[in-house]
Amino acid sequence: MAVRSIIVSGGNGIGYTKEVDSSADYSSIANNTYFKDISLGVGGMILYKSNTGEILEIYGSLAGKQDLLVSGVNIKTINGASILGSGDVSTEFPQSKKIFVDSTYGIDATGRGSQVKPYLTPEFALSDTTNIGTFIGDTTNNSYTITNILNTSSISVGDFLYGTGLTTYNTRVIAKTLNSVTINYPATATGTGITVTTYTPYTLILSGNFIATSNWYKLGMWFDCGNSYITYGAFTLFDVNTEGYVPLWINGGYWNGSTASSKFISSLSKSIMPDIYVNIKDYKSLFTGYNIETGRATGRQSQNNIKCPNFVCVAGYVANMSDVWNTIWDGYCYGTLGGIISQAQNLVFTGLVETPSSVWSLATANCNMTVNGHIYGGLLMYSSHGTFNGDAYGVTNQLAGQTYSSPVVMNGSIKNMSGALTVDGCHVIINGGCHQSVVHTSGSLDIMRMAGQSYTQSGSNYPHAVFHHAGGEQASAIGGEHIGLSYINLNATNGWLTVLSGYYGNQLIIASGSTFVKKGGYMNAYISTLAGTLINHGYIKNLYRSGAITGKLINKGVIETWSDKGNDGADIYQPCIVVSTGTFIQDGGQLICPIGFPGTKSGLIRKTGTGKVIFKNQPLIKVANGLAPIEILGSSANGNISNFGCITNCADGFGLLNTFSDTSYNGTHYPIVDLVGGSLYEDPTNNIFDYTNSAYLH
Amino acid sequence: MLLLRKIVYNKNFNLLIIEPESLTITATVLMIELLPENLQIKFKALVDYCIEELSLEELKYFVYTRETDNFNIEDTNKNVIIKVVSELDSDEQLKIEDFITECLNIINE
Repeated sequence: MAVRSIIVSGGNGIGYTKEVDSSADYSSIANNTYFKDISLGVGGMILYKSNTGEILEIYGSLAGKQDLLVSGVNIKTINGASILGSGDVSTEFPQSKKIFVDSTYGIDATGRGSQVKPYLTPEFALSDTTNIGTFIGDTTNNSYTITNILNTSSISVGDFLYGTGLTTYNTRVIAKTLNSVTINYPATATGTGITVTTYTPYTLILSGNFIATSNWYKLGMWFDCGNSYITYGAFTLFDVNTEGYVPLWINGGYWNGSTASSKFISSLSKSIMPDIYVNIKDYKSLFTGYNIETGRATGRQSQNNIKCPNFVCVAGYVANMSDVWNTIWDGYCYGTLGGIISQAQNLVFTGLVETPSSVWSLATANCNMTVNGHIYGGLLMYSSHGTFNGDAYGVTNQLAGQTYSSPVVMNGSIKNMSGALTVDGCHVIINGGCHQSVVHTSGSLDIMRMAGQSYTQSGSNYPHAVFHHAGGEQASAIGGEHIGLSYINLNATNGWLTVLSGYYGNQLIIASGSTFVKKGGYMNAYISTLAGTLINHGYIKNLYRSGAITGKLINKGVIETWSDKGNDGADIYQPCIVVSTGTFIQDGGQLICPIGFPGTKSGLIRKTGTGKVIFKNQPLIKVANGLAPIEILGSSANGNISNFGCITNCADGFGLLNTFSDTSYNGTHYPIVDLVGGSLYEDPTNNIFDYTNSAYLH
Repeated sequence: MLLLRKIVYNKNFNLLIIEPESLTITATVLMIELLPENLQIKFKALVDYCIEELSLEELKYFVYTRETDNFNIEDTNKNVIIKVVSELDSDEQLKIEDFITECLNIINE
């Protein structure tokens, strides 16, 4: 053990003055001394005895020390910026044109709005933000440049502009120099020293839930509401209270109008309607009027784009969007008192409107529309045309107005069996089923499957319709009984109806001037009135009664009569086709009475007046009862009978005509007929008519 | 004095909405359980009538429209029965008219 004095300088950068053999020598070393303990390591280790006598390992303590910090080399940067040096590093990152509002961590104080210093309420944020300014410059008609601006420092790219000659909606700055700006739409006039107003758009970024206390509408202030739940009371939340130079954008949020006066958007009586873009997550209000309402004084029409998966108007109407250029609605909406009214140039609806069936779900006026969705309420389209791809469930549906240039094409069905569809003044094509009765006063109507219980034409404006398939609606609860079209009333003075196929019928009324062309199908009919024209190419089954025919019945197909009640409806067996002053033409085809009720005197025609009966093109005329096909009732009915047909199944003694002297017909009738034609008879022993009476043949 | 335009019962939200003729005047919205007692009695009678009329278990809406005097009853399956009040039996007519009168009183209060 020993301590030796030694002076070594520069060794590993540290000099020492003592050398010891072991730690037992440390106590002999004076304080503040560097020395070497040769028992340590390989060849010794330099130690230091501090001013308090503490022994420190020089190399051992250095081994854990941090190297010199070099930004970007051994210490990271933040977004490329060095964080070396003293002082505080701010964590506030303002974002251009975004204003942050936080209902939990925000404070309403001037100058806030950054992400880490948000406002507390949107109301304060709106009032604390200035986004409107002016500058003076020169415009040139059709030019995209505004020149001679003193200083453009206050103008931002993206600003909306409005001023004389800068009236095109959505005119915005897209570039600038020190003294000029470039705009996205050309100026509409040349002017010098024009005062131009700028609107800088800001987006309020909402976090948390809010209870709004006043109008949130301010030009150029837009909303991004994320998942915020926003409740508002008895006022209009977005009340467009100034000319709408800038569109209104509302994104996100769950909105709750808590009172009967809580209206969402109102844009009324302005000359410049702002475009409205709404893309929110959910809406519900107790408001009892139109939750979104637009209408202008004069001037610009707006574009409304509304997108919401669940827009629920608990106690009122969904929307009344008048004077709108385009309305585009996407989503489900519900209105207890009514749905969407759209007086728009163009309407595109995708979704579902639900209301009670007996109130309007979708009402359009002067509208070119495309509707893709279901309408769970009434459909009112006035002077509108376009395509409707979906079903309508309303009790009352009305398609009216002068839209002759284009049809309303409905690729779906009118589903409700109650109420009525009214068609007046427009062309309508229903490529589905119409399960509802139809009242038709003008325009054309083309229905793929008419299953409503009644179809009525009226008026004098040429209503005309084609049913590709009629009837056939079935009530499964009663075993599939046909309950479809059972009442056809053609009561217009100049309308017509064509039915191509189907199973339908019961009461048929054809007024003077009306025409019913039955091209096919199976009709079970009672002709109540035939003052117009009925042309049958198909099958009329069980024709059991007709009123006096004063018009025309042209049968090119098959009519099976069911001798029953005749024209007076009395419960006795009479011929059921009653020709009064009208004309019955059997043109080919068949006229048969397959059911021979006991006591029936003739199953086919009772001629009661001066009308005409013509059998042409060799039709088959057959009665089941063995008597005659035609009864002449009264002397005025004589004559005007032509037969170029085949009469079959007449009993011996009966020909084409019969006097029916049976007392059940109240007396003797004298068929002084004026009969022409070449006829075939099944039984050659039969005469054309019964010579025992005073009939004669020309 | 306000005239009546429409009365709608909305089971979805358990509300009765009484709409005056003028759309510029706010309609009255009433929670069913908060209806005045006399109106509640008449309301229940009306619902019973609707259910009986439709033979249904669940009434979704009824809508009375003064202009047409129509009373539309709708169940959850979109089945609708339309009644013209003045054409109903006198007992039912009285029941509905009583109800309408009470509703009118509410909007004129």
